[in-house]
Amino acid sequence: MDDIRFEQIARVDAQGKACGTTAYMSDLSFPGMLYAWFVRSKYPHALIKSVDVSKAMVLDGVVTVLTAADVTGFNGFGIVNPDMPVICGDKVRYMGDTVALVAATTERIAEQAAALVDVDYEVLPVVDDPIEALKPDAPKVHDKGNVCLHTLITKGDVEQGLREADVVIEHEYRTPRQAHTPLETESGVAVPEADGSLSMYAGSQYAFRDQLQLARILGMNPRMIRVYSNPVGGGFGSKDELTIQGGIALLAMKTGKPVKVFLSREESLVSGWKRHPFIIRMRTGFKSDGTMLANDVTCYEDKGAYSSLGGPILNLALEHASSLYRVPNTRHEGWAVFTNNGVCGAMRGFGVPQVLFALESNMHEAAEKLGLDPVTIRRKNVLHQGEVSPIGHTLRTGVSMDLVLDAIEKSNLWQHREEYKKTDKPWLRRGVALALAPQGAGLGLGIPDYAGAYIDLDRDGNFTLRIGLVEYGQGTHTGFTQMAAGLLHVHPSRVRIVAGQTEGSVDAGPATASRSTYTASNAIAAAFRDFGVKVAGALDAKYHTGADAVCEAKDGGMTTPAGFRTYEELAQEFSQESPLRGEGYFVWPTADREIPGAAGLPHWIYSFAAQAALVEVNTLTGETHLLKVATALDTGHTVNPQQVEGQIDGGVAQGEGFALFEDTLIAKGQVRTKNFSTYIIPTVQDVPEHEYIILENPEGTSALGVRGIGEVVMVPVIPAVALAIHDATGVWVRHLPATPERVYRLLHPDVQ
Amino acid sequence: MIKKLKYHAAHDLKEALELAEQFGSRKRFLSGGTDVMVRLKEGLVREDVIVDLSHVAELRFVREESGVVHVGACATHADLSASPIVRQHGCALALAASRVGGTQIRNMGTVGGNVANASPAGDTIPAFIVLDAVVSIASRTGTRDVPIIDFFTGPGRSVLAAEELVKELHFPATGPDELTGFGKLGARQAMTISTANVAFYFRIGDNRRIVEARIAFGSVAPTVIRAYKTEQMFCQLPPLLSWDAIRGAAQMAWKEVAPIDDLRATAVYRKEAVVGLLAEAAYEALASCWHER
Repeated sequence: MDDIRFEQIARVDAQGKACGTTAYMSDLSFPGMLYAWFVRSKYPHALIKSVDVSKAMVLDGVVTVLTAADVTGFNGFGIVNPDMPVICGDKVRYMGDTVALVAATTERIAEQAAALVDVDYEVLPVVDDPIEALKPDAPKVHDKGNVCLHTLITKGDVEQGLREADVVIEHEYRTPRQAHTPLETESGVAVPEADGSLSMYAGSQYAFRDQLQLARILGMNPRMIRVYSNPVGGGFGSKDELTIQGGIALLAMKTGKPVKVFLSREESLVSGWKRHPFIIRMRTGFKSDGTMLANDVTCYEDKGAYSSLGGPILNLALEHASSLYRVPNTRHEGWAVFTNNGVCGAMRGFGVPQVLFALESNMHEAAEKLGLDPVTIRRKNVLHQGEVSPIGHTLRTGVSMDLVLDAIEKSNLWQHREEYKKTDKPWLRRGVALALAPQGAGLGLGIPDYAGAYIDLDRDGNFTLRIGLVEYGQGTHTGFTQMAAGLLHVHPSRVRIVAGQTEGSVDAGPATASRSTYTASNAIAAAFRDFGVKVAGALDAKYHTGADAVCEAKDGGMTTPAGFRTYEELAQEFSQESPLRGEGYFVWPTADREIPGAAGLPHWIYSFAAQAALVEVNTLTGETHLLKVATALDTGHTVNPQQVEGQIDGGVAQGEGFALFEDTLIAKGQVRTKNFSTYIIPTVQDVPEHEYIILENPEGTSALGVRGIGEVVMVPVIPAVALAIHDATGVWVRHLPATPERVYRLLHPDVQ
Repeated sequence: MIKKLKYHAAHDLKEALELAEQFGSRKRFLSGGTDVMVRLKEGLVREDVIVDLSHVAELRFVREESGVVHVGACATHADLSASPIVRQHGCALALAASRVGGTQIRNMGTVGGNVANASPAGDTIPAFIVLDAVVSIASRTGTRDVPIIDFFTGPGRSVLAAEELVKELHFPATGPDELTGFGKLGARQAMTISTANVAFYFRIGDNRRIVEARIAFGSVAPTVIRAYKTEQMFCQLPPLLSWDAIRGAAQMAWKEVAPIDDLRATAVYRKEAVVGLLAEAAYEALASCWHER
């Protein structure tokens, strides 16, 4: 299958999205539909003494108001630990907590009724700093305390390594509470059906897990809950966990009417998931020739109020805290700590951008101290396939650290950096820097990472690919179509996809963790192999051609023991009553043993990218513009070059936001950046020019040689921008985002 | 939630002024809506009547008459930044208008709104100030002119009475010996509220000396302010282009601003940054001016 040809086509969803005809779940309406309002907490931390809904209930147009007592099943959700109440009954832990739910005939009435819900609170002190929250006398967010997870991974003797080092770089780094800001905020419609079942229409990253979580909340058989979650108007991780689904499901089941909600941007920014801010203390020791000897890392992850995926994110960060460099002595310790600072969960990069900002900065500083260039010091330390990682596992799959590093060194930007750095304005300084990143893909060890796919030959001789993985903008459905079409030897226009629904598509795991393209490659290839077996079986049953006969795809049909048959002919013969179906199942390969004390580690397959950034710093004001970025990326095997470039463009913009603009500011539990005039994301005028360097070193565990690339493309650009500011001005940026004021103060340390 | 409001669309100036008189302080004017709609959503509009001026075609103009540029209150920021008259005879205003919000906001937002809102961060205001603009204020009983420097009384406050509206602004058309410009500091390249902004006017005399200067800063005091001492410093500049000299002159601005801390920046930073903002904008303008001569 290595010679598979991917027919290049326009995105399968391009026309609908460009013309506005694509119906997202938030676009749907149903007869008799009610509107929900989530009554949010008035305080970031308080006990609930009582909730009085009587005034809200009697408002004309209000159909029902629910409190915690009305939750029919288990009042909680969370992918790892369901500690987040759907409706809080005794305590609120952040400003986005729900204390009651209203359903009314209009959104306006629902909002008015929400204001009439009378909640008696006993205000508690706020804990808003993860290090403070670890102190014994800190206010407790949860009864069990503020530690969500503590992980310690050690290898060798880190203190001995640091003693032997010729240079030790030691710093503290801080990273922002980045918001995902998808165009479509948390939204959906819950529809109760006549047979007592529920249909949930809400864009999300994993319909099958939503189904189980909703079943637990409602106390219903999961088979009575259908989830439709595709297409999604952007996710970036924010729709991996449940958001509004539990609330509207309860309202729909209670009222017997469809119930819709569509959060405003302001409500989304207050209540929605965010990237975890990290405080990272890192001591890295090097020999005088640049060889790494030791890395001692302590991470404090500001978890916010509830667990969600904070534990796995901390662990993925710790897995990457020494990157894939050859470090004999490591100590990676992390604390995921509950605070009243909103809620944090999955986001593109999943802990890796935070730690690699710190590590690549220490690396760059060591190079400077030792008189080495940034490429040389990295080349000296990068690991190769077969070597042992900094956390102690052997790297069995492909490692492309050196390849992307070589490629970025040869980039136009890096080769001509001295010319790019010229400027004739006395107040402007330009700098270029590079950084390197691996990103573990898939869910990790111990979490079954499973995917199924069906290839159905439909009555008319075209195909339906059934796979769970949703399209939230990445372009994966175009890629899946190309994969199936390439295997089947048909034009991609003959393949349609049914995805993201618990009925009609097949569970293929979440669309997260850089796993969709890789996972699909194996599930689809397995389904294709099974399809050939099914064709052979059907022919054997009818013509006795032999059950073990091999059928191969060729030119719009298959060569079979009964001769060449077009797919139309096969469909005519075998797909009239029900489709001839190839079923494929795939389980990710994993390491054979877990890293002690670190659930989920190690990962088995990695993505790789190196990026160089050119910035211009205005020394008068501290304004920093990202002018140009070069990306060297190993795709394994490119399915669709345009979508790869699209992922790079988007990843660089999101990385730029992390590095220069974005931070959800929370003071005493109150979000101060509630909309896009204060929560600053890059506009098209801020994003840089791109240089793309695509490498293709097939990943041996993918049937089609592909790797996931969606996350890694936003990671190295973050340290590259921070280090380019250093190259331009000499200052070290250790607290992101590098806002104009922050850079100005670094340039003028005398300013108080 | 947007509260319930009465809505009246005025079709000409006369009707607008009648509605203004009828509803007085109960009404709020809406033109492009780029500010009012946001405030409505945030529950910050205390008035209960909206008078929509966007159909008053007679207030949307840019023209030059006998050496005076007239800008109608309903001219959009896009109108100003594209106008050859404004670009030639009030360059600072064209530049300021081109830096307001993003394309969509510039297509909707109007100059009358930008001025009448009296925000200390309004981008066109420092430009009007250095152009020595006069605000023409109309009511049903007549028209009065107020120099723009006297128009503002505090953040969000002006001399505008409840029954009055800003009809137009006018300023002397700048000539070939007059140089004006604008600089803006924000969180990003577009769609940003000014952390600080600056406009300047220089009249260039013989031997490339600045013989008259007007400099105004926004977002660094309760209203947009003139920086008179800094202006004097620019008039002392030697007649040759020197970055150090220009930066030195701009340094005086530090003494003339009174900013506060807010979400966008601290007061301390603003005081520092306005110096650079002025130096950079002035240097760029003077350099291109010298280059052309």
